[in-house]
Amino acid sequence: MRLATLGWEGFRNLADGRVQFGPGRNVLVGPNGAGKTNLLEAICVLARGGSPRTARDQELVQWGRASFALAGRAEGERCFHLAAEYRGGRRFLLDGAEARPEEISPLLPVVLFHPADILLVQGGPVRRRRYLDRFLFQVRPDYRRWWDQYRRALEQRTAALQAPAGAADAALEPWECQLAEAGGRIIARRSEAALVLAEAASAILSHLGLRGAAMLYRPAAPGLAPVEGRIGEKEAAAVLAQGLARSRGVDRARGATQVGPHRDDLLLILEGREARRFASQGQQRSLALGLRLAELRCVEAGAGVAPLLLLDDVASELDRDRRRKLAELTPPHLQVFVTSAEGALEAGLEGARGADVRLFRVHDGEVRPG
Amino acid sequence: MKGDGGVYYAEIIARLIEELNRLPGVGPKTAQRLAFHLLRRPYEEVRRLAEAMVKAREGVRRCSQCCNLTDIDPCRICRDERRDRSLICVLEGPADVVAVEKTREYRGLYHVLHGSLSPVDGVGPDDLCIKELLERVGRGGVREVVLATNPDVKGEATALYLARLLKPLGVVATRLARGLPVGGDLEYADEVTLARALEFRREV
Repeated sequence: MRLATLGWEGFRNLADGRVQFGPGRNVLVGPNGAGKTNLLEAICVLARGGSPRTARDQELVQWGRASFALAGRAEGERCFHLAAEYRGGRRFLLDGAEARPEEISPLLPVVLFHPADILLVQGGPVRRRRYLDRFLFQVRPDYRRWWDQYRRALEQRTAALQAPAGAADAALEPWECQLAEAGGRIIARRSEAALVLAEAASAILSHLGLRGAAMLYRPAAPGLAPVEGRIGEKEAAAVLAQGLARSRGVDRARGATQVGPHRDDLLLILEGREARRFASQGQQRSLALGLRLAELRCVEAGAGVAPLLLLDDVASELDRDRRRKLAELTPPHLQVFVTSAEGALEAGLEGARGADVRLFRVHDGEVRPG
Repeated sequence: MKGDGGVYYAEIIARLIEELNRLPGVGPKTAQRLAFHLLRRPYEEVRRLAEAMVKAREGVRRCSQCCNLTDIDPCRICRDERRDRSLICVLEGPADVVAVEKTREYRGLYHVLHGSLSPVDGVGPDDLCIKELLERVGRGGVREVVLATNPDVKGEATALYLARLLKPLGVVATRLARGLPVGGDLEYADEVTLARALEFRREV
């Protein structure tokens, strides 16, 4: 897919405007703080239904304004209009009709690589769970519904654990049933996602010079070991139900649920050791990049449409050699959006094959074709 | 609206708007529109409305058997001799009784819980009419209890909780089927509904 046009009003620091993007590589050049990343963020909000930087829509509204609106036209396998607006509440439109983000995101998948991605490897499990979830939201349309059911039931069980009168088993059980039902599906799907992503990553990582890399999905349920393989949803649900029942004592004492997909991890292994602790900074950068490129491949295969690739400030994170490999590993038919600081224009152009490059200058929130 | 009253409206109008604003589904703008509408209508009409509200509130109480709202106790449905007394349909609210009655398919009795379990909102079993239901079933003569709470996380939990309590009393607890809307298009059904409909498919 391609994003042919994007218009915005009242979004972050961007002066209201509209641009036409090229079908190939779109390079956004400008000094730090000019608004380059905000433009990528606008694409994410429109296509995914949310910003990668904040969960609070209010933060996306320009200082002194009450609302923001985004609109875009997507072309490719299908052609459609998208609109997103926030006026106290959020609303998404697909060809003029109200739509849920989970309906839109498989139509216009987006893969984003940005400097903080090294935390996929260095940081805590939450970022790796989000990596799996992000992928699944784009390729499994029902995933978000199970995830919502799980989240709601988890909130209720946690509140029941903290009840002043103490939580009797009978008060926990109804929530556990639903946690097991939705959680079993989440575990099954994450195990499958980890497998598919690991397969795609292995060739990419060896091209990036990393050998002996592996990805192991580790569900946070006693009785389910870290696996490189699929876990059935019925089996996962049964194990989860048992695990929840058994951890009631500990959970009451801590006032929190210790078992379940909200505590899963994805172990990244390099030459037999956990990359989070034992890999060098350079290896971790390559690994993070490899994970995103694997996501790119798998989203395209899973959603059946070509995703947009957003590269935020890769020059700060990747050296010349890795940037060259990134260009080699990016399928040429994808539409790419690259941000680049003023002095590093060449970093954005690197590896751009053919003449299909469109330049945009971003200065003080103004975006102009350059 | 709060705090604006002194600036834009006479105090007495601001209070009316504030009260209307408390109603479900009525935001500040609608509250203001309703208030000005009421102030434009003849005095007699407004008095009738106020009287109807107070009278209803004073005259309506919970039925001692099914806990539904009623002006006479037991309520008309519980009094109706033609109804099947061995069958009880458990619902979250009085509005659900109206919905089921409209089908004209159901000839049993009802039990209204007045809510669903939600520890997040501080609603536990003691805040719902569960004790009344168990007493009612305990008195005997009930064969089946249909747990017709909403198919959301809270409604499901409430149904599961009740099922656990009802089983030892020797009654059959059933749950409404989950599936596809009638007259709907398979292509447009959401994935979760479709997944459940598949799971609960039946032989024809």
